[in-house]
Amino acid sequence: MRARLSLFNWAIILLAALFFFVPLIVTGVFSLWQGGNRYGFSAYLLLLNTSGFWASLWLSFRLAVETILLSFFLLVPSMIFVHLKAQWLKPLFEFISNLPFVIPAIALIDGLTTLYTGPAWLISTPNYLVIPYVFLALPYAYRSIDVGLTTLDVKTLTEAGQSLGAGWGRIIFWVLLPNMKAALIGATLLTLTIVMGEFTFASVLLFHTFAVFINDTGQNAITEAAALSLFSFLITWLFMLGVLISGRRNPANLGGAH
Amino acid sequence: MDGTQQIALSGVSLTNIQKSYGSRVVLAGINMELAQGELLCLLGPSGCGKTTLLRILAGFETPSSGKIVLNGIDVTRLPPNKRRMGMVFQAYSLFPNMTALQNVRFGPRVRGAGSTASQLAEAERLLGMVGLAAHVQKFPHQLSGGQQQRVALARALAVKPDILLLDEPLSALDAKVRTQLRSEIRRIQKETGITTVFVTHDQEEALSISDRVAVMNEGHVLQIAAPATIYQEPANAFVARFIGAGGVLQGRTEGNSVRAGSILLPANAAAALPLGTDVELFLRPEHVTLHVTDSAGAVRADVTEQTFFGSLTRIKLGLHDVPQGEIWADIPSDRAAHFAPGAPVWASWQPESPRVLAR
Repeated sequence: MRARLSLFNWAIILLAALFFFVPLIVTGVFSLWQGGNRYGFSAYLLLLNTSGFWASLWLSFRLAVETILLSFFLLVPSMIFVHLKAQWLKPLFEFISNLPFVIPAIALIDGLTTLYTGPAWLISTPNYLVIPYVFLALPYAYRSIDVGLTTLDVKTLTEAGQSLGAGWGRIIFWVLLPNMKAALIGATLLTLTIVMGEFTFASVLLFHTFAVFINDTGQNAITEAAALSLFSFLITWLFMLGVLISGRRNPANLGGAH
Repeated sequence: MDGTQQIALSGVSLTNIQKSYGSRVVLAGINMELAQGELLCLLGPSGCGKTTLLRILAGFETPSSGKIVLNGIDVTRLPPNKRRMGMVFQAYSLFPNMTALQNVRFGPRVRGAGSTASQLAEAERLLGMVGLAAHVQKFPHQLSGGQQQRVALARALAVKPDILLLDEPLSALDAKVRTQLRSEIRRIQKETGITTVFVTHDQEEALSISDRVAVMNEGHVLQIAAPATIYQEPANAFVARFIGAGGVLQGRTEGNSVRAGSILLPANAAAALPLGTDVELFLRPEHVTLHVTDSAGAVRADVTEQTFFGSLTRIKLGLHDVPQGEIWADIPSDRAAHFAPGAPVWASWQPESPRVLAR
């Protein structure tokens, strides 16, 4: 039976909705302002025709995808290994995954630029950002994947797969990953959101990502900046919607019917 | 098969299997032979090493020393996915993202056995064999625990294993389903003729399903024999205590009897031991007859406890002048009123019934 909400519950919901939507609505109205009493979509049209818009958006998206792939490549096998064979290493993993919370971004950049040397395609290009981005997204990606692995009986599923003749590749790609879909989608969404909005690393290292573009635009054209902020919100929401739809379509259910 | 060696002819052979974790010995030199098509139960209390032995057979654990030969091939160091062993686990182990049909087809698919059509047909046949023909397209979460274990059994059989390993597959099920499924496991095992090792801590399960039972304790196999032999002729005190119910009395041999306190208990087996040997006398409850009046050859006792089991009631008896030990007797419940706690009774048994083992 669906519980009925009290007046107090509705009041809390209304307050939360106001807190969330009022800034968005005001930003939206402001983004449409064309000076005086005139309102229109000129800020949006201008944005779409600005040279750096699509390039920075694409760059951030590409970096996000690369970050997600590298994070999964590093985390999934190692975390499966820890869950299966080395539970005693878990506290160490927890500690490392929380480091980004305590190391300031600027210290991280300084450390990275001192430590890392390498080929030009990595060091002299925005690809370099993928390294700090993996580090930045680590707490969120780690937590999501860890929850996914904890809810699965990884040991039994792995052994069942092995007893049926499957090697590690098939166990990971046919058995474990499909059953961690929700966790992986969660990690993907969080990493995507972090990378799409990341400013400090890109700005200090002088790469023109979408967040840097928003900041630059905001300094010169404030209505365009408002339009950009709404646009980035819209992108995040679209990703979230896609994630929710795909997560609901084929959930990996555990346990029995009775 | 790379890295393997032709050794024996058929079945499974375990030679001096030892397993230690640091200084803790889990398996202390297990030797065992399984005939082709045999169902052997590994039975023992928690921590006795039975699951470790099964996992060594499956390849999930490596023995510290010893050798496993399967159908003439040394598989001791072979990884689990290279062995032809089907396994059903205690925990529900179906892949949640796959239907029952896809689960059963998984093994043949990864092994590349036959065409897709033949894999699907075989998977459907096996699901029919375990009584799930109507559930092939269901996901694990849509199946009951018993149905999931049936699918797991079909999945293990789909790879046409040389040996089927069952790790307490019924322990998570309720009593009724457990009894039903164990009968089906036995039927299917006989139909397919697959050599099977079944781990359980449930003695009733082990005695009812096996060709032979291996009773284990503290890393040792104490006795391997047919269920009736294990029950009637336990090799030592642990097996006698662990298998079935029964009274135990301590005493010393005296000819064809055991003296406990001032009472002489008839027991032909005592004659096989030297006079005066400290022994334990084991007596099954079904071998004890109770009388309300003194009877020839009967010993005087007091009823200490009654336990109702439906058609039978178990009576526990304390013997006069024997402070340690007790005798149990199973009687039809409609006669239980004659043997209320505290009532004096006389217990008798055939002299050949007790098992007498040196302490």
